[in-house]
Amino acid sequence: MMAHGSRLGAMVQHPTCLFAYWEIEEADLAAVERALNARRESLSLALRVYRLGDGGPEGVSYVTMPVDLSMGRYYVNDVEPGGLYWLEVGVQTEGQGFLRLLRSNIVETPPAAVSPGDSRAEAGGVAYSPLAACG
Amino acid sequence: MGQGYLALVLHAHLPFLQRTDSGNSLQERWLYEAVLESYIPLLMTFRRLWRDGVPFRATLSFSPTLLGMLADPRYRGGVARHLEKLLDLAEREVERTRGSGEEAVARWYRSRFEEISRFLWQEVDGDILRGFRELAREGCLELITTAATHGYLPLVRSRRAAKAQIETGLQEFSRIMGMRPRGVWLPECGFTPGLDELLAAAGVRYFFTESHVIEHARPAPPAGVYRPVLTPAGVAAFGRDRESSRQVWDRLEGYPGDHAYREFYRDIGWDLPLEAVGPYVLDGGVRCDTGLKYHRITGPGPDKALYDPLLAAQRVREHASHFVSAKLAQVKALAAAGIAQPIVVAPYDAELFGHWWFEGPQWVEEVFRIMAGRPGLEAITPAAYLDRHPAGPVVHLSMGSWGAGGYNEVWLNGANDWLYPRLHKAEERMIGLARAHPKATGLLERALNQAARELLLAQSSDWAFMITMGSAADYAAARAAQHLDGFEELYRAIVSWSLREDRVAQLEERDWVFPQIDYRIYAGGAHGALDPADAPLVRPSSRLVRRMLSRGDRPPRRILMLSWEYPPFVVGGLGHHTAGLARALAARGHAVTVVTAVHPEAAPLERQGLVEVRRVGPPPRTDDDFLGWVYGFNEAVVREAAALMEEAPYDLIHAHDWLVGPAAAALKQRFDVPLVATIHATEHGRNGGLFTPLQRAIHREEWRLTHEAWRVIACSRYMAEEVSRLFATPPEKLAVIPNAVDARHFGASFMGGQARETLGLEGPTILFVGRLVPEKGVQVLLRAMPAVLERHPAARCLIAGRGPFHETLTALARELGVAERVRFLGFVDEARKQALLHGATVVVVPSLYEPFGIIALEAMAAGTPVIASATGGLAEIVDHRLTGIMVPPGDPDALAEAIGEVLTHETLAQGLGARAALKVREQFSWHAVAVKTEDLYEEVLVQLAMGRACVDAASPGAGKRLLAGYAG
Repeated sequence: MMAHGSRLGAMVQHPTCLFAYWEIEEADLAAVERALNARRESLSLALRVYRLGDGGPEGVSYVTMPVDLSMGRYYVNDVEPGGLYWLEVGVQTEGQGFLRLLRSNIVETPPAAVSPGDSRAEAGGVAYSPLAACG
Repeated sequence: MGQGYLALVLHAHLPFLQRTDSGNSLQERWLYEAVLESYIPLLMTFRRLWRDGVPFRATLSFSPTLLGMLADPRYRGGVARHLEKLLDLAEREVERTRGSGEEAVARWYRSRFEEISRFLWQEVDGDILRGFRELAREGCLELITTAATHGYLPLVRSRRAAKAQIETGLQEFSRIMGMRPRGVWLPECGFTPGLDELLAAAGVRYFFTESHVIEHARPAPPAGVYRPVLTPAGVAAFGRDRESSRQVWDRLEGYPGDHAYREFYRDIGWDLPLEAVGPYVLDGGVRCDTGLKYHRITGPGPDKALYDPLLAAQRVREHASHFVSAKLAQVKALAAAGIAQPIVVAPYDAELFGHWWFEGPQWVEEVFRIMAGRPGLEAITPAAYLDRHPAGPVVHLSMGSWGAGGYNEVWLNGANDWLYPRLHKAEERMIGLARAHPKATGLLERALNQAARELLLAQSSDWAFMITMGSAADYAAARAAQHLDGFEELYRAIVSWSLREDRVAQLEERDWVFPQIDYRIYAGGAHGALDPADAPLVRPSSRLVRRMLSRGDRPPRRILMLSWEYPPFVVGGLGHHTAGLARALAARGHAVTVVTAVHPEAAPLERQGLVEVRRVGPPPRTDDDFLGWVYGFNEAVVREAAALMEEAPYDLIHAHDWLVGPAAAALKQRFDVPLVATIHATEHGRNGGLFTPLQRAIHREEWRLTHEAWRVIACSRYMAEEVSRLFATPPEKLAVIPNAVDARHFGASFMGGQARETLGLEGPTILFVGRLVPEKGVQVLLRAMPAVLERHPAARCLIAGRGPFHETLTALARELGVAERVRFLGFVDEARKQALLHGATVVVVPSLYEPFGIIALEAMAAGTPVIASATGGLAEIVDHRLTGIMVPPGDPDALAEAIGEVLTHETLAQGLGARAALKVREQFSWHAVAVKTEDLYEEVLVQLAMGRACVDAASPGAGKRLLAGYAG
């Protein structure tokens, strides 16, 4: 496990979108550099999105996408409604594949998108919120 | 009652607004405007309805931050000064507009402000909360609250932080309003699976949520949002009615957009020259709304006609009549569709009424007046509805909110997502601080409490909302950052032991909310120990449950269950529990093999449906070599189970108590199968400490079992805390699943009168059933008897059970002079116990230590009133004065008084019994326990699979070594 300050968080924005944020402490980056004998500028950071499929506990699949170390946050679009997901941030290496550095909490996307007009704000407009015109 | 109900729900909320020296900041004026334009007009409306005898019912939610400000004399002073300025401004406006078309409107405003002033000072003595409380006492209003700072709970990271929001909110409401709310308003109607468990633990009976949260539930509720559903945690959920919302909220079709109504966006604060409004706007002559608006909406263009209050009042009547007719037609259609007792829940922000929709309070009044004359639609509060009609069915709700898009986009997007890494880190740090300092005093305690306040304030949903809307976005971002900075400053000072009193005092002065806050809420339960709530708020088990439900069934599992007791070999409750759970799991399609100890009256191999019972080893003995027998028995269990596992693998091992711990651990390691353990009681708890080598040896075995198990089940939160405290079990390993009773045994087979006749019971009968050991507290009951007999000389006390304390107790009865009225029945078999529970007038459970208290549950299932000690698991079973009466443990006087009350008041006794029986059927059935246990099994199996998947994904060689070093 990485130092206690390094973290990767996963959150659900809506049924088809997750939000990821990460923070990797300096000490951890230095450890990765040493382990791979590489400078951090040359590290290919990647975000791996795992999904628990319909096959139950055995049906785990994932996709990997490149991210910048400095971004610190990322919206994962086009995930499926009603799915169980977790994320990993790692280093994509030549020959050694994906080396996990951080793993997130597990999140669950809700089952289906709501049609526009269903919610209060879309139906009525935010103008009625007590704080909307406080500026 | 006619065909259906309407529940009008108004949610009043403002974030905590910091005071300024002038008391005239833009933010302080938000509060003044809300009070003078919404809260007071609504209160005036409700009081008029009450005085006129109109049978109205409404629900009002006040957020804790708003309540704190409304109750604070400094803010009340600010409201009074603002009202004085409005009266002054109106007077000047009457002069300024004299002879013009605007004069009539100015005069109308002057009268209105005078009326509000009269009401405020003459009718509620400057305290509007008093006015609302009085109407609540009359039964017209139901007052509820929400999370402490209106934190948007689906995006809170940990269960403990969400719990702090909920419980701090409830505590503040109780402090200010002098009552405990029965329901809560979830901020932004935001729900996520797992929240219901926290609400249930806080004693909340119901909440509101968005329509689609109910509509997407599994299984789909047949009545949609028109009847409350029940979550697995036993909390009722009411769904918002879209049609009612649209009629009021919709910008184009909604009532507030009528051209006769007052135009919000034309205010003299902006329209008049600055010299005319200078003293009435912000300090330094910065323009803002004053509250005097002379025009009506008129139409889409910029030219606006003058406001005509009479024309607006006419429209209000038309709109109210239309609304009532629409609701009547709606409930009629619902009833015709087969939905019995439909309830239409119409929730709105309270500030819509009066502040935004100026005529809103009048509309509310007209709606109730019209409803009073139109049969078929009854105004009701959620609590009153639940008193009349049970919630149900039990469903699993999904995440959702009433924000744009229906989920979390409003509170989580590119404009405000920077908040969450900081918020989540602060949550973790707060939990760590609370754990590290469980007994802080003085300055450290103040700093920890202030850190908790800063975290709660940073979590307000308002900041993320305002940033998204671009409305006072800079202010909102600054406030969120200010509270996070405050938290982090305190955190650093605490961990580096560099606290400064003056700085803590400054923060206390600036952010003074929640005077009774206790930071220890982040550390765990009332006992200060860790509790199982320390886990992410959103957990995967709920998803699995729904997946299985959506498929119509769950994958059948092969479960190996280990227990030294199994009927007919029964020592305590363990054997019955194991048998009940095994049968209930088998009834749900799982194959369960129980390996247990031999018994002379039972076959070595027995098949009961999908339950297979295998009895092994030497016969149980409890002499000096008890431990020797335990280890011999465990060897036999391993031999038997290993042979079975080699033949066909099991998915999971479930061990009950330490007596099978060594075998469970050995099997787990040998066959790589996850282990789940249930700890039914602890040696330390039973004896109040560890005093002998045997007790210490048992304690070690108990620890070992909790250590080896993937998850540890306790039957109550009390027991979970005990396990966590004694064995340092990580909270994420602990789960609480209650015991169950088979309500069929306590239902139709014996009715009370029949049972009494069978048993020859006469007069009021007080019953105790249990082992005769000191921790069961029979001595307390005996000491209560003299006072009971003084009030009820015909009463008798029956003590059923046996144990080493028998002689001591009979001697005590003689010493107290009550032996004539106390009968020791000795051991009673199951059938006689059930008959006694039905026949007794009251069942007393006076335990001093009680991990769960199954006898209380059995008495409740029988519909017999229960009086129980407020200790251990009993406090989680019995709801005081609702499903039983709780008394302090070890207090004979309080016990005597409670027994006397139940024997005297028959209707009280009947009510307690009936509600208790209902609760047991709903929450403590074997089916419910089996479903919860299944959830846990699936969660374990998913976690196992995830771990394996990650290992599979790793690369060989150096990569794998690195991965091992960083494995999460």
